[in-house]
Amino acid sequence: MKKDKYARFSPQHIAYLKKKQRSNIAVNAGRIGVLVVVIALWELLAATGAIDSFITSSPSRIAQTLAELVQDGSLFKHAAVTLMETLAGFFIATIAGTLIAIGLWWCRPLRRVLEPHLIVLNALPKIALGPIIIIWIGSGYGAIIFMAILICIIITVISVLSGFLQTDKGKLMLLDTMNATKWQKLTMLVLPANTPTIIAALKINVGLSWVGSIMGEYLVSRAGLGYLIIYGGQVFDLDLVMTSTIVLCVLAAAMYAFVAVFEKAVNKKFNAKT
Amino acid sequence: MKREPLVVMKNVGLTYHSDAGETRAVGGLSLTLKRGDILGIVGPSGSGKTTLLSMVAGILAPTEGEITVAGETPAQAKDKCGYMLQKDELFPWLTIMQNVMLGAKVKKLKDKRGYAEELLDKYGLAAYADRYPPDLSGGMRQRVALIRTLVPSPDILLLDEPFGALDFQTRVLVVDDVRAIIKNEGKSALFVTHDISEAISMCDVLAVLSARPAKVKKFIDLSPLAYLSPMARRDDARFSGYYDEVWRSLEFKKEDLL
Repeated sequence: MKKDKYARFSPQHIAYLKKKQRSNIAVNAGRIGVLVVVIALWELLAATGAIDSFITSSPSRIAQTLAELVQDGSLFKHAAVTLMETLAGFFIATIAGTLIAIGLWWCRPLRRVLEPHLIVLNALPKIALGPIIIIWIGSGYGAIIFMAILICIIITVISVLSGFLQTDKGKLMLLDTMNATKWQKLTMLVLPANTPTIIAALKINVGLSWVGSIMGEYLVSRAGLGYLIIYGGQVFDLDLVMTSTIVLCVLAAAMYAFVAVFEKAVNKKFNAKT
Repeated sequence: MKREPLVVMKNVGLTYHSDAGETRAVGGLSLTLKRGDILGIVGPSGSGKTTLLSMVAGILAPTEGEITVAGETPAQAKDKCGYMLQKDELFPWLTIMQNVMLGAKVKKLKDKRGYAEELLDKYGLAAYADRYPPDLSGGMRQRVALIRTLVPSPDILLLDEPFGALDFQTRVLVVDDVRAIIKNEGKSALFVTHDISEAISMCDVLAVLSARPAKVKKFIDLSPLAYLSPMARRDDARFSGYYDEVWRSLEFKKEDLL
């Protein structure tokens, strides 16, 4: 099969393809190598006492903590809580943000009135609203989800709206010459043309919704990975802090990978064909 | 044979306002498009040619004078006009068939699919119906854009420099195609261009516009060339005579550019 693939090419092109393949392998090896070296060095320094593993933890202690957390089932419970909060914040913020952007696109006076307020809200560090959220919504999951929404939604509105406003003027003119209604312009042109913009907003929101849920858990929570990290910090259990952070890392990366796969599939239809 | 006037503009003027002030784009413009004709509109750039088409299409209302389209106001006659823009403006996420059906879909016209298929077939695009715009050459895309304009069955085509974005070779070929298609389908057209050769090869009659505020300086009858295709006109002995006539009436001065 592979031989057949190469059969059509000149020796020079085969050499080029092989060189490219070799460089890809080298990069991947490098990526894994960096991880291995860091982990090995960390373990070595901790084992020899060069660093105090009470403060820095160590890969073996993290593995042990992870095994314990898995065994007593608490890892799954805490990870599930945080994941639920993050996903809820992510979906609600993206959908509501897109709907608000549609409203602002639709109504120019409203857009002009609200524009400076949006910019100020975007600049405001949302964590500052923590106490207000707790007083208004209480200290349950709702407050944490609300924090995640708050962090994602303003930037969603701003980026999606700016995509809407940059819709090709010529194509809008075309629909004008066809006597299209505003609703037709929205559904036939503005939304499909901006599917890549909305996906880009999804990608930004993956990161931000984790920021929101973890920050929310720092403020108020009795469960979740953010809770484990804060708790571990308070009782000076650095093994717990490190383990939770690593689990968080893996989950966030997995969610990003999902969105990236989704993006690839959607762009194949909407973006790549321009 | 006296043919029915389809678009009549009488002393039409348009003044628009912007932060830069007040601009009289068109003033005292009169012309008549007869059924079956392709009327070319040539003029210096910025002379309100596109504005003129927008008024006929009912997108812009004139501030002076009167326009009738098939005896109605432009706003009433909106569905009688089909507009073709400089760029093809095909939607890249729709297939060629879906693109061609766009106007019919917007206007909620039923039973246009058969006609669309017929046109695609007639003009050599049937094999591309399920393909996407990036798979087509510039000339093919422009033909698709013309078919998209034709599918809702307008009487009058408004062509706004529809070949401006094409390279010279493709343009000469597409002009040939487009004139043939318009004549085959029995349409009338207002054709805006700044390219004198293109205007002479494509049209039955020309209106030469003045600079802003635009009005018609001169009409030039091209009916003696009617039996020739656009490509054949370029080789005809009379071509350069017409070219000079248009050029002289444009009174193009170098100072205007400076």
